[in-house]
Amino acid sequence: MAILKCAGLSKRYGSVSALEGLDLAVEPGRIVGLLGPNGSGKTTLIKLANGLLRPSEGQVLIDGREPGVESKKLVSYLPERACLPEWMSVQGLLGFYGDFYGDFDRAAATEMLSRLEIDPKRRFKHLSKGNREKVQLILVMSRKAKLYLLDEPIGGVDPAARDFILSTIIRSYNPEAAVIISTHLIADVEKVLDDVVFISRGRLLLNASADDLREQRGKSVDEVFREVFRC
Amino acid sequence: MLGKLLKHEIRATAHTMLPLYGLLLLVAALTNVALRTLNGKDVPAPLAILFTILIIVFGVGMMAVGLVTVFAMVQRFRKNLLRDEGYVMHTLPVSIHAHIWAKVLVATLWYALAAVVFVLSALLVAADADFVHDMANVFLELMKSLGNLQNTEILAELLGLMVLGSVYLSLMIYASLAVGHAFSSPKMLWSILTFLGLVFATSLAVYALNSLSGTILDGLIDAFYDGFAAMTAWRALCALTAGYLILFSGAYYGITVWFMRHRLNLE
Amino acid sequence: MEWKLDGEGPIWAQMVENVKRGIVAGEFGPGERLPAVREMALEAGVNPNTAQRALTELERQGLVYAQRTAGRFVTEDAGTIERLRRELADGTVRAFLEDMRALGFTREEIEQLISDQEGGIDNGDT
Repeated sequence: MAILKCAGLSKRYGSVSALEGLDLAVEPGRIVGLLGPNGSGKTTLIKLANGLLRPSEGQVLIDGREPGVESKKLVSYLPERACLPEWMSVQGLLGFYGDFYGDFDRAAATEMLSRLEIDPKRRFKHLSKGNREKVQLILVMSRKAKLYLLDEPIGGVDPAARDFILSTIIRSYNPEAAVIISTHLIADVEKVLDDVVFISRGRLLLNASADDLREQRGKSVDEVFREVFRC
Repeated sequence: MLGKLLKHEIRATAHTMLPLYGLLLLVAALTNVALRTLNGKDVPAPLAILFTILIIVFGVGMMAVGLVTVFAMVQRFRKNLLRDEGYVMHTLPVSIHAHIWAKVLVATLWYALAAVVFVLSALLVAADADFVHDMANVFLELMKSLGNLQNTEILAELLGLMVLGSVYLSLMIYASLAVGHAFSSPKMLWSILTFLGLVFATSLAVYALNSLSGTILDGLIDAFYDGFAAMTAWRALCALTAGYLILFSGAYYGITVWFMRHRLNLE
Repeated sequence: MEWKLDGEGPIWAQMVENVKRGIVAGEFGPGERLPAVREMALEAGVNPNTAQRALTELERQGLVYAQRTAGRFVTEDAGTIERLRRELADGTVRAFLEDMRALGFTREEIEQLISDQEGGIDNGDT
């Protein structure tokens, strides 16, 4: 069964439409790129799947359920920007995640932190910007969730951080879980994607296996993307 | 999950509130020294100025402790649930009800502590050997009078109303914030306007309810002042006040839940 | 090993090419154990499903064999490796000839260029 399923999903703000009649199913074991220019509806889709927004029409189901307390146990979410409570220490954040998420693997998180030489006693606000993003990713990827929603995980990070993020995603791969990565920087993530979903102005343009797309068009996904979204 | 939220909420607020209360108590103790030094003795001018400033700081601190606590609770609610941290909080596997209750209960805890700190620092300023002796006596008297069942009941009812009042105030603020932050901007202006709107609507509702049941209320107040059946009248007044507080708290609660569930706007 | 994945064509197919060259060049000797799927995915920076597909394809072509618990190993059959070597050489030569014809060179010119270049290589000044 699809872990994420959208049927006729629409979200409007007044007369502005952020998402229009989107149909999509994501199966476990897939790493999916949610690709589109800024403002195309990627974040809206992720927020709808998280229950941070309510659909105007249609529905979104997580493992067959509407977003709610039960679905949130299955979803591990990396928001677009760092938004952890700044006053907490890294250790405190581990405790916080452990308290609220039964699937949080504290040992794995501690191991990743020590590999990066991040002192768990430091307060979140005293970390460098790059380390804050890494800590947030470590917390999110240390859960044994069924759906990972990563909103622009590599926007604005340096190449070393990007490599860390991508290798963490690969290392945490689990055939029972699906990963959705939203981004507009396709060249950087293309190699880790199973499937690609192009959205533009709230509508689904293309949903295909990344390798099939490369084979059919004889081009990289990045090049196909540039063609589709040529201004 | 409410228990875990409460634990986290207390930790998150304690790290700002406790130093604040500690500071006020410290200033109270210093003011005590200052007052006694100044009292009828010659003190060098610089020290006198310093002490005077200290006394003013204490006065302002006493007046501000309640307001600062309310302000801190407003900030806590909006920063934690309606701004960036909301991305983390609203994706926890926790219901909106638990989120609101955690905030209400912990705010009530701090309001109660603020009241205790207020009284303590007032006592601390005045404290000397005689005073401690007097206070001990007052306290003993108070305990004796509590032996009187009626006094105990009145005290319990007053405390109960204070708790309800704190819940009422918290929910009124949270409803205003939840509505105000559904707009894109300026969120705080909309929140304040909503708050004023709620105050107005609530007064209107109380007025309407009172005129419906006006005769009952008048009768109760008359009975209370007559002294005849005063206790019965007191109980009825308490019950009526509690009823109003619960009714309106329920309405604000409903508004808060609806707006956070359907109109959450974290940007 | 150094992975060369330029993004043209399916990535699993590029990985198959990479491993084949590794086998011929002796980076993966006959009977040598290949990295596990996840390890290979991490090294190459690709999705584990992609690495899995590449390994399955190598297996299907008989270049790699799996042992239930121990992992995947490069074939020990010298004939198979020799055939692979030849196949890769054919592909390279074919591509080279296509390019040269597109540039308008005749067979004689091409042969002349090759021997000129080889002279250069022998003199060590390439």
